[in-house]
Amino acid sequence: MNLDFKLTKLGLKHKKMVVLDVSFPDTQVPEFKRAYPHRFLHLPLRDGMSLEMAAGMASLGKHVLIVGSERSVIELPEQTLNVKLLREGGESTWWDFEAALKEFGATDLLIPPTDSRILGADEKH
Amino acid sequence: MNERQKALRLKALKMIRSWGKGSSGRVLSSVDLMEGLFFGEENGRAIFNYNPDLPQWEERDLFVLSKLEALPALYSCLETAHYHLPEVLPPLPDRHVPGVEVTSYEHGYALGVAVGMAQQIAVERQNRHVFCLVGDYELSQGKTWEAIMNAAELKLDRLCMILDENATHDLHVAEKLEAFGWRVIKLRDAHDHDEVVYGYMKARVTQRKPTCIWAPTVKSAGVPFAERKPEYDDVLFSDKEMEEIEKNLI
Repeated sequence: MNLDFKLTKLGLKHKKMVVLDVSFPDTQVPEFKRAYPHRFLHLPLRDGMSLEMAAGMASLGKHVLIVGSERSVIELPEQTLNVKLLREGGESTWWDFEAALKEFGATDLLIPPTDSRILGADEKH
Repeated sequence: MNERQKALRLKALKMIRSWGKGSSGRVLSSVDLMEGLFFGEENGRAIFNYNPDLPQWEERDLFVLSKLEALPALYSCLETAHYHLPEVLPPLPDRHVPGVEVTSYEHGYALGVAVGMAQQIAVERQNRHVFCLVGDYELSQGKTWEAIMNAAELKLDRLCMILDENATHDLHVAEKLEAFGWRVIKLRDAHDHDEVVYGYMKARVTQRKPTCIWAPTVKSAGVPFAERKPEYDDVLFSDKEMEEIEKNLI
């Protein structure tokens, strides 16, 4: 399973989820873009102000995921805004990913490796 | 200058005195721009929709303060507009205070947030506007220009940037913003209520591009002995000076 497929699937459940993609030149999540064009924004190479834009969208009640950013930490003056920074590296599973996505506030989310399986709750524990 | 503008000035100056610090010159340059927005009317209709009893009303317009020094002016406007403010007010914008939309600790941050808000409003096709007050010194930040570029690219006609230019710069602001794709409305007298309200009305009806209201203001406007004098920018007025100010403003 890859990120694009997972986000498209999660988009069905989370109606307030919006993806802000700053990857260059093409988007990393074309399926999501196709499935939810009104919940997707592609701003290539605008990493510098992606957090501010995401904060603005989140302050109107959206759950914003930033994809393709090179930032390593998420620093916002208001930590209660639902802004998630997706980044690669570290060990993670799709189960952890989904659980972290539901958490409240500004955090970063580790993208699991593409070949990672989806662990069910029973399997996890 | 109308009575409300005078009262707001006095309130803001008293607030600065009670805090023991503040940029009175920059506060007084912005107060009329906020007064025009919060209390301006055109043919009996308010140009800025808000409800002090429901600060999170979903159809409200949004005012975003990027010029951090002007916070006392915002507080005095909110108080006059009957928002229920806490007794102790934070010295920096905090969205937990009713009427304050964005928490911000640094210059150039809030304009980007305003762009994000306007984008979301455009996507959801809501009938709301975002007004963002920006200080002229913020134009020296790359972040501000990135936000300006994004707003133009996304054609955010629900966004209005109010540029408080209280110092003379050779920035060619209008040419640059128009080159980016913004509409620029220059006010002749940024301290005149009717002129300011007319500017906001024009901004509200602009379509397919963001608007900048370019407001050349005067530092310490309304305090004759301090106007255009840089030495009064960040001072706390003495008791004697406050007496003189009160005589002028009451």
